[in-house]
Amino acid sequence: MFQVKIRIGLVAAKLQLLRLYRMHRRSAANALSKATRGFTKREFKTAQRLLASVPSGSKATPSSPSLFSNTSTQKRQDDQMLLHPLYREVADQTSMQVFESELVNEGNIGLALAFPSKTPDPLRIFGIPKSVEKTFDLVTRPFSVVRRPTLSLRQTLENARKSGSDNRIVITGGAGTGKSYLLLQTIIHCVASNWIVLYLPRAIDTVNCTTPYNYEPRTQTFLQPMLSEKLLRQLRDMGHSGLKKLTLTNDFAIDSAPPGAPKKGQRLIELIEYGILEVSMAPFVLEQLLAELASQTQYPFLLAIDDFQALYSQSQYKTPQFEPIESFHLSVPRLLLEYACGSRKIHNGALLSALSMSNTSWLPKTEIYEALNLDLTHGKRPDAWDKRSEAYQHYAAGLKAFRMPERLEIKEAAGILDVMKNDRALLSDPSDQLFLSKYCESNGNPKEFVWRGLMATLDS
Amino acid sequence: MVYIMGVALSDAYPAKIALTGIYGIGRTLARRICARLQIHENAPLTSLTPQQTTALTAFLSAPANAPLLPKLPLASPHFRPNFHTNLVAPPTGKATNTNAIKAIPPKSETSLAARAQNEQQSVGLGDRLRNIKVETDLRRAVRENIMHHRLVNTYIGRRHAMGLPVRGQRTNSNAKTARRLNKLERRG
Repeated sequence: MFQVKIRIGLVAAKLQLLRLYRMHRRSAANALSKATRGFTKREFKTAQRLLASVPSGSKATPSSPSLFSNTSTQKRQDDQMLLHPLYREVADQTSMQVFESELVNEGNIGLALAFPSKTPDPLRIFGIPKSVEKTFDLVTRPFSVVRRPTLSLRQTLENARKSGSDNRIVITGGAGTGKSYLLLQTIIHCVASNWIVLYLPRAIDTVNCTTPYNYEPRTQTFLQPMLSEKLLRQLRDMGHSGLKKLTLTNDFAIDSAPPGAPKKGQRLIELIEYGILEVSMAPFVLEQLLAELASQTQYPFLLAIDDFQALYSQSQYKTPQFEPIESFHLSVPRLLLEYACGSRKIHNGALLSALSMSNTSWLPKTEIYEALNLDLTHGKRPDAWDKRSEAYQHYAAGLKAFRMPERLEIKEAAGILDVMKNDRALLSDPSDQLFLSKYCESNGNPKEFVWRGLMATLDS
Repeated sequence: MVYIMGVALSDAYPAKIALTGIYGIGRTLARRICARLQIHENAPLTSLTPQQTTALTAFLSAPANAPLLPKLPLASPHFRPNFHTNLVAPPTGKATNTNAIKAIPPKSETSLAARAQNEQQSVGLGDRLRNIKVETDLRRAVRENIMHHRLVNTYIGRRHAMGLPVRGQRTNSNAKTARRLNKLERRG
């Protein structure tokens, strides 16, 4: 019902806009019509920006192309039409600071910080999860707010790294609580602190049958050469100086490997280049590269995985007999699972992962549910009759859950609202009443607050 | 456009959908064929390598001649190949050099053919793809079936010859499709 009202409201708004600008030049009117043709919030926002960029009748100079006719009566009408603040102000994010580690402290909770865009940008090189991508599209400059979990996760990571203990952390929490965003914030912090970072924003892509696979009898698993090559290329593009300084502690020794295999003492970057060049060797190269990075202690190494629950279920790949392949029978997921369960240790650094409830085909299964002691916000609790796989229980052993709070704090929500207001991303002029009502309606859930609270209202 | 057995398959679809453009292949069979040839079914058709396209054509030209594939042995979580890195304590309890990487033995010792021959592994329920027919073979089979019915003078044969519905539908009205398509030399 509410969605029907929104649609009717949008149609009415669109018609009103078109009626108001009937006098304009055909090209401008066509541009506006094209901009408002769709019913999505993003296209409506584009229309708003087009309108905002149109100079009002009183400010139009004779030299600039005027969208208004020359008659004085029409000029007066147009002046009245563009008086609303929404049509005059443009998005202004110049006051927003860029994410820096020093700015993340107790006193700055609720402060909105833009993701840095200097090269190499990990968000561009590794990509971002789909849900985060949709939220990035809402604003002109991707941002996040400093939250209490940001501080505590950072502290947890530092403590674990200093004590040298096993640090395999999984960020858990209900849908829309900000797990992927927290992971992104931590990655940005680690990149700025000169960690070597390997980030998989969509672990589902390792198991959803979108990359080539071939059986390898020596490892009795299915290799994923293109996926391995992609991860190697992303690590190379990050351009960390450690890859050029660290050297191999062992030869790359595989029988019948193509010529040019790097030897002990050569730099890691040469191993990566070899894996990119010889794609058939990429899975083995990736395995050795991660082993070298995990065993060295000069540079901390972060293995970050989003959609972590996808690794603990059957993949969509099939054997030649059309039987489903388990994820630990694929080379890349098996490698990640071995780091997750502690078979392969990261001596200086951490494995940091986040669950995701966005894709209903890949919800957390029984083994990961019980290993992390999840609650009902992660789906139905498994009962005594659900099958449990010993293999996945082995791979889920020893994981530590980092629980996200269910609600945003008021300061954090206010920080989000400020950014969206300055960005003219909202359909209305926000007031305190609007803010508090949407905060209460969404129960402080970040995704609900933004999408079904702020973006879905026509209140003014 | 990718051409397989003379049929132009659209580039706009993933392999498991594009293969249904071949007469005789539906959604399920397309997925099974992709699995058998180890083509990832969500692959865009343009991303298929020439070797994969050749393998597809070779298989579909003569499915009965394709070799039986043995069931592939798959590694348990505790399986360790000879080549492994940075494993602190393998579950077997044997002490190993932490960063030792040993060479994998030559391929001939662990080849698939040798394993199948030695261990005589079964193929499970049998290779269901050996009896499939596609394109011209399937059309010929359909025509032969209709001709057989006509030759032995069955009801089905007579209805095909008259161009009327075969399966007991009404003819007082409708039956347009049957009048158009039901022939002794049916297109298939």
